[in-house]
Amino acid sequence: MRRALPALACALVLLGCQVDSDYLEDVLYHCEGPADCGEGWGCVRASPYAADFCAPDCEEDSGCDGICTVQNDRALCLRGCRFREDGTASSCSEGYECVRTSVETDEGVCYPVQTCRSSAECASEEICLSELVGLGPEDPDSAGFYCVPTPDETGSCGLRSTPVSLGAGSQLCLATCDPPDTRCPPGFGCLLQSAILAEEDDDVLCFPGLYGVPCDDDTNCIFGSCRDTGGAGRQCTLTCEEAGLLAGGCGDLFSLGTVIGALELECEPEANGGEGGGLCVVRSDIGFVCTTPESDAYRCAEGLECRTFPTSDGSIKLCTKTCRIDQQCNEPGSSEHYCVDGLAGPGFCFPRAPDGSDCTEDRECVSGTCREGTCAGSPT
Amino acid sequence: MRVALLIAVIGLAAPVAAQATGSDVESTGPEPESALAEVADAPPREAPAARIAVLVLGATDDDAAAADGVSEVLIGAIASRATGPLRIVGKEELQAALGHEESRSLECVSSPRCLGRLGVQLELDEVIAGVVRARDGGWRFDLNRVDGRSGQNVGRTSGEVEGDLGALAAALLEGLPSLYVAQVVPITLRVATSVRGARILVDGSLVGHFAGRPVEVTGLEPGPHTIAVEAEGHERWEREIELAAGSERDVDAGLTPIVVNVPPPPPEPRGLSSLIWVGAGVAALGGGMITAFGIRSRGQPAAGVTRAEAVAFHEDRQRDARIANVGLGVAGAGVGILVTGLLLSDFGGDDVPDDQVVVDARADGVQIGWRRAW
Repeated sequence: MRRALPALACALVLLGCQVDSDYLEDVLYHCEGPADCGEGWGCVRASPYAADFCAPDCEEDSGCDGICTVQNDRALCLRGCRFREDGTASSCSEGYECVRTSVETDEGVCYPVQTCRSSAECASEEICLSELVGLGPEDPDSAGFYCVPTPDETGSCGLRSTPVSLGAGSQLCLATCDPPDTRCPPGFGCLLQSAILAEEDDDVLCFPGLYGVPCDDDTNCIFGSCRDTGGAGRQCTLTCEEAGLLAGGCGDLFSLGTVIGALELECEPEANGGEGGGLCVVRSDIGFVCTTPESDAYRCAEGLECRTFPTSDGSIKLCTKTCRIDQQCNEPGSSEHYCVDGLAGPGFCFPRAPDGSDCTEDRECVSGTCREGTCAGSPT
Repeated sequence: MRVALLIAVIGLAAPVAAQATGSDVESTGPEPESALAEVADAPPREAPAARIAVLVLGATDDDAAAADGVSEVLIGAIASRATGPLRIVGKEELQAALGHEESRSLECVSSPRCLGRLGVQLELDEVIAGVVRARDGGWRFDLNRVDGRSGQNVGRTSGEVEGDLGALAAALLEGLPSLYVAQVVPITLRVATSVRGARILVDGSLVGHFAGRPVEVTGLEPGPHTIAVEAEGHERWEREIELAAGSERDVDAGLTPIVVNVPPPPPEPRGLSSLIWVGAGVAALGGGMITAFGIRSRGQPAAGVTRAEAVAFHEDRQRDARIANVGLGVAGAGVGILVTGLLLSDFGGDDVPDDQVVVDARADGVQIGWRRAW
């Protein structure tokens, strides 16, 4: 009896009330800052495509079952998920869906957004990100993309997003970043190259994670993985050998260089310690900024040189090459560049300006027409 | 004035004794007056002769001659009473033992203790000594017979007589049998016991009550006696004892209390242990804690709260759960105490009497009732 009573008491205590703490781990909590998330947790910026939400702290190499992403100098863990062959994903907690972080693998992260295979699954004013990267709804890798809003009737987008033309009259509200805060939604990377030319108050685009897009971690990359390319910083990329097997070479991949003519994806044999033949790295093309005093990330593409040109408020370094005629500045069949005559000796290649830009003569404009000092549209 | 005479027994002892007893009187001294006179049966002489000293002194010098005369008469009378060999030790030998001092002899004659020592010194069986004194027209005398071995005075005679020396002699002879009358020696019996108020009985007669000090009983005859002590609540004490003459006896009667086999009172029912109520109270307290805080600990945070608020809510619920668990322990302890109380309780069981029909006779009839023990 004397032994039974303490044993009974211990058993009762062991079987006693226990508070379920799962709701602290699994429930989606939105936040406006780390203070809303409690100790050991931080606030992940998901806007403009979702509401910011809480995630636990993590260390880069451990402590995270998913992707440890840097959020404003704080590493937070986005819980990982996987896609099956049929396109379905392992379950995430309520409020989260599995967002693809790579079209080349089955990996993803749980994120508080509505996923889609095509824009038909999105709201009327939204576009599925899969279409932005050229994946159709039948493509098995199209699962796990999410809906991105378009500008409203007034042509404006929400906070931390800006309207971007996709051509053919369609527009998209792309998220923006504010370097050195490079946080972007999953599948987007902060396009640092655009920051070079942007005004101080201009937004820097979070660009879809194509090959060559700057990144912080794999959440930024839809294509390839986020790797350190050396002087060019971290980019969504792959090895040159993989690129050769996949498309015949770095320059043949659907990349940032494909979308932005001032950039090119080239193989950097020294990158990645030379393993895999080096990495595919974005290079500045004719007329794009090149290595700056602050960084050597903007290296000129092969055959170009970084030269300093005077401006009204100083100087600027641009990638160019010497020329005497326009044809020396363009690939065969292309006319996007022209040769600016030198004051003494050879001239330098520069890109033709879009409509609305200042000009002095017709060949400076893409349209081929400079009217009253401005590049105009079709010649009248 | 009369002349006190000190009669020297020694000189007259032999002829008086011979005449009185018809026995041989052997003189041991050089002169009859000063020698030890021996009176013995002849023949036979096988039994040793009893040695008796006779010493009568005058209280004053004037009485000495009378004392000597009386001594002779006395020796003759003693010899005549003897039934066996007898040897009379005379005055001279006695006084030699006493140092030939008349005053000392007179002092010793008055002391049985001194006479006893004298008897031991001279190996006497008996000493008959006394003093005579002349008074107006008469005499006064005092004789004692002392046992030579024990020094105890075993006979005494005294008196006053009117007349001359002949009257004194006649009185002495008359009183001589008194010397041989067994002297009543008082017996002292003291009885004590352990119970105050106890009754003391000797030979069936109540002689006193014990009041803390021994009850002293005197006047008993030598021989067997029955002593009993009685007291309430004690067993009677009784003994048969033999009392010798002159003896003193202390008796301590230890009374034994009477053990009465009174059946012990039936044990009072213990009833319900107070532990039951304590345990029930503790268990109720624990149950209340479990109910109140256990339910609170199961709560979920409201929708729309931030995670920080949810964490604070969770910590509160954990606190509630801990309190509920403490309540669980308290309730468990209460149940334990309750069970212990139940085990220690006496619910009556088979001791509870059955229902009873009560019949009450009254002057106006009989009332019949029914009683149930609850």
